[in-house]
Amino acid sequence: MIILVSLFATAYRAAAQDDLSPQRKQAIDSLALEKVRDLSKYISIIGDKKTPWSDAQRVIERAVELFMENSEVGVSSLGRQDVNYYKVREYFDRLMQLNYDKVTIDWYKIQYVSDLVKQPDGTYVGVITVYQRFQGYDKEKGLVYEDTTKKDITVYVKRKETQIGGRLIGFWDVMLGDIRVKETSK
Amino acid sequence: MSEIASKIRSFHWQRMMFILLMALMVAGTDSCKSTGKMSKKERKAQIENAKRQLQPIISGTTTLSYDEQKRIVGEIMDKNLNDPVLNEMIIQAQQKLKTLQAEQAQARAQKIDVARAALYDLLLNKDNKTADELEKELGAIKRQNLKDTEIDELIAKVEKKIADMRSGGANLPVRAQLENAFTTIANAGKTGNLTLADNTIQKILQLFASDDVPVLIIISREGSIVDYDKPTTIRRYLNFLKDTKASKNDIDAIMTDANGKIKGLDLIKK
Repeated sequence: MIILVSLFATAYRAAAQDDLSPQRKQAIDSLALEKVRDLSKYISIIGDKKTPWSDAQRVIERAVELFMENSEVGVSSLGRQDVNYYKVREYFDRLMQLNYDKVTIDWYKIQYVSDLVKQPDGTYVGVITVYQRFQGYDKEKGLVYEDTTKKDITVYVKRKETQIGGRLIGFWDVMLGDIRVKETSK
Repeated sequence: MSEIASKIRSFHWQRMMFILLMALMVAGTDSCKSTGKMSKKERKAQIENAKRQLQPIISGTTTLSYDEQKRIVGEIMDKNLNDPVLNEMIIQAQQKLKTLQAEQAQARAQKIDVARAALYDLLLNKDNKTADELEKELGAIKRQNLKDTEIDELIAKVEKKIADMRSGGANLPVRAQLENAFTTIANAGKTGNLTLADNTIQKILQLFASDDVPVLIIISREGSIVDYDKPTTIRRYLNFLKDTKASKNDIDAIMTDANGKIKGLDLIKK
């Protein structure tokens, strides 16, 4: 009897994952978008020269946790054709040490270009595009560099389960993949 | 006249004195019967009466309090009626009283447990009740007159809390304290006042059992299916509010431990 109940519960949970209602699907769509918005705020903090070093380090840790292992971030510049790709931690370390007196980074138009679609392994995969406005300032000369970059971020969303305080929690783990540069303009 | 005097002289005074003495002795014996020793009839009546009094105590059908029952059994024992059936009934009644006492002790312990939990709830005031509402619930607990030191101390704490609430003190309900802190931290992050954000984080962490208390964020609830964001901890969540400069979740549930500290926090997307 216990085995039957257990099997039923497992099947029920599996069904809960397989057949997402529009409301639940919308919830995970929003969750993934929210993670990208969180990343945009982390990038802004890490790049900000006024951010205390300890805070920047803490935020880098949180930002790195958003990504899948070995993910890369593309970096472009108006002065060169090619795009350099860095592992996420290296990207954030470089971002913190940019040679400007003041840096502002804003992400906007954060939206899906490819909806989350379920893969055979149960993971939902989609692509979110963002526009990044970068401005670098010099103490004496003021604004010395700015560009706008369109970037595509692959997102992976998978339902997982964990025990917390005796409760079985079903949560959606959102992981970001590579950030690819699509175009850079002034 | 001389005839009367002659009759008096011829009266047998010694016989008269003897009769009087006997009469007094008989009267004396009667009076002893009413105050000390009982007649068989009276003893039998008292035994029957005692049995009648003990029967509902033994069967548990009496409506008398424990103290009254104890008094009755004690009085019957004091009479020392020395009847085998009655003696057996006294033993049964005493056993019944012991059971009753144990049940009452257990019931009291349960009442104290319930009152303790209710008082902790009032202290935390998770449901954001007003001072009047808290006082009403406190009054119901006080009326139980539990005479327990811990309960009395908790009652005093709740009374102080109510007084603080009425005087506009900072002793806000936990839910309100958390909501205020979340807003303060997010706004401080927005305005770049990191000192205020960090101070508020340190202050609010004191409400929690530890910095690693789990925080769950509900992103969707559809019938029995609840979807959560990836679990985090309270310290991380508070820093997250500072970093993202926004508080986008409502409090869904607060779990506390025996010390009244928060051991789990469930949030829900606004």
